[in-house]
Amino acid sequence: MRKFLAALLAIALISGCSPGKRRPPAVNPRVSLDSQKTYTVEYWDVELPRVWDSQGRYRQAVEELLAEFTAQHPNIRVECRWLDWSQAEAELSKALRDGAPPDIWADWQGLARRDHVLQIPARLWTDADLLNDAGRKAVVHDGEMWAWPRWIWPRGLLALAGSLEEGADWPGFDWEWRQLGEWLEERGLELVVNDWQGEFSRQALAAATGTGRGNWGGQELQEVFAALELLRNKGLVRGDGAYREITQGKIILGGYAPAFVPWLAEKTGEDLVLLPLPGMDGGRVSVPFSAANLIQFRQIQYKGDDHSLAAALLAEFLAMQSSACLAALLWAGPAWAGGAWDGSALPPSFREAATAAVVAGAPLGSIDSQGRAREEQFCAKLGAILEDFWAGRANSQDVAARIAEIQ
Amino acid sequence: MKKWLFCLVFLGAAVACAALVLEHFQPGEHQCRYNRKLYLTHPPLEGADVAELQERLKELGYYPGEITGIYDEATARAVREAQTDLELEPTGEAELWFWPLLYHGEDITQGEKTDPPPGEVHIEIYLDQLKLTVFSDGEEWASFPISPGRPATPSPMGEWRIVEKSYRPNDAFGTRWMRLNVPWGGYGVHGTNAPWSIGRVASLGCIRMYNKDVELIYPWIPIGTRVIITGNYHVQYKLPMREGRVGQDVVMVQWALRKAGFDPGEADGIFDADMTAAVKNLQRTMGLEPTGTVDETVFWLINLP
Repeated sequence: MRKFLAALLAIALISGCSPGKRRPPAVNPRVSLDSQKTYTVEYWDVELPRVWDSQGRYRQAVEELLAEFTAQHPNIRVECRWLDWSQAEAELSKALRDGAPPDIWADWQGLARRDHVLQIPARLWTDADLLNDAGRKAVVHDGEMWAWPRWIWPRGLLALAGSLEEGADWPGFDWEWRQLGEWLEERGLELVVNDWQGEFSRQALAAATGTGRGNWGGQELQEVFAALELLRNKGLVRGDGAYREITQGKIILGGYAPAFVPWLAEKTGEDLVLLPLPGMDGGRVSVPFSAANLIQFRQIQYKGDDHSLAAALLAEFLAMQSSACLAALLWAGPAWAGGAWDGSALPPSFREAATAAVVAGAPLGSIDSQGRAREEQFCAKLGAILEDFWAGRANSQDVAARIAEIQ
Repeated sequence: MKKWLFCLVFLGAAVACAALVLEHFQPGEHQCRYNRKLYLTHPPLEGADVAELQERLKELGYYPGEITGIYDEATARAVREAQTDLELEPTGEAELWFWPLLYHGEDITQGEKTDPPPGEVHIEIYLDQLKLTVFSDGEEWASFPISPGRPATPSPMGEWRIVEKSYRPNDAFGTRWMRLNVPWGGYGVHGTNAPWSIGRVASLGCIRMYNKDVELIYPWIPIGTRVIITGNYHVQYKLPMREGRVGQDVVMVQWALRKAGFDPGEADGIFDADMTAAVKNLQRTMGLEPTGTVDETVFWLINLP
């Protein structure tokens, strides 16, 4: 599997990052750079923990992209700061409090921030039409494009290929929960889900309803939990999030994090399979995903838009190029339309899911500063409800009623 | 004239005796200067060789009696104890090849460099290689043989600091002692009065060095010097592991967390707030509830056996 990962990276970096495949610049040319000036753009990125990227390939690839950018833009100097994964959020919060954020921030949160007083919407410089559907759903909210998307991670159910029967029918994108339950039962498989802060339930709702974060209500909520209750009562699904059991038998995982995928592939050396989450009524098909974006902030010591333009050029370059060549490294799909993303480097099921997500992905919610606090409170209360559900102390009707109370 | 002659003869005899004594008691020599095996017999063997053997065994803590020069039961018992520690058959008989083992390595430093390191010093101890290496500004400076703990009483692996230094009267800790801040016991780097144990796994967990070696490095190592001890012996883990826990298994988890990219601070065997934060960060990265507890899932994620 290591060889596969290395080959995947090599293919991604060598073929996918070719400057010749780049799209035309998207940055709005209303202002122009002064060729006599040198612009310094501050870029903050996060060093991935080794548990995710054991070889440090992400940083290496980004640094190569930065070198390519500065070669193309000799009067733009990029000051890159690499933050420790554990400290990154705190560092950004401090910088925002101090009014001195970087020009461009590599955000790994998976949802678009918005409404910070220093945040510059990407729509000022580019057009959402350049994004694919999933990219748009990731960063466009209330008609505003809040960030530069880099890639999207299709979400679903994860299995080791060896635990599935070779050549047997695997769940399709149009499957319902009932069919998935029968399929699990026939093959003696068990679905183990991690539902901390409603991670799995949120994905299940997104797949069933085509709606994203925060849409915890309505008939669909009851239907999804009624289906899960049935599977739970039959012993086909558990909510204890026992990740490690995926290597111990016929276990499929739900609600795992993107970082878990390359880690598992490297640890086990086995091929991984990404199975789609069921929809409802067989008609609505959507693929939940999470995303990583670049956010542009205003550097208040600079006057004039030419500095912001220099920063936007960097954001555009990194977003498009990351989407094209870094996505495969991180087992993700593209966020920009018509990019050089080479899905053939991914295992077939991941390629299929990424392609489906690009076309029909469920939108991600966005969160402003007040929304973030509300989300934290909601998740804290949601945790107790879901714990009761997975422990068999609450049924689907209880869940729907209690979630309605905390909305 | 007779007086002069008498003085001359007396002086000559005195010089000869002194030379003989010096030769017999030459501490740096590893070759036995005698030509007989010592053992219990009746009547008992007597002589300068027996006296020297008794003296050496007394220095090493095996022989509690007077220096009589008579190979008696107490002397044979001391020989048997020394042989046991040397992992020899405890016959109680001192063959000629037994002597060098009592003196081996004690009076010469094993370090390839004897001048003080010019830069910042830290120490790395490799239990499986039976070696202590002094580093200067991160560069290897000098290495020395050691005796680490036995399997039943293993030396503590981890990242420690020298917290106390003292001279010793060449007792069981030799001539120098440097305590480590290991939280589950009194461990240190020290000299020894059992130099034959160096190069073997023999201690109760401390790091033994030849006296001359520990005397050499003692002034190089200020209080607070970092000491990293690594090895590959089997560690028992107790799960779940939470804040407040202390032990060797905590050290191993700290190292594994750091290797996974989540730094818990120094691997000092104490499950503290920094380690809790590191565990929570790992759990968040993997999408799991950040409990801060090392459970089986965390254990698996950081690739521990």
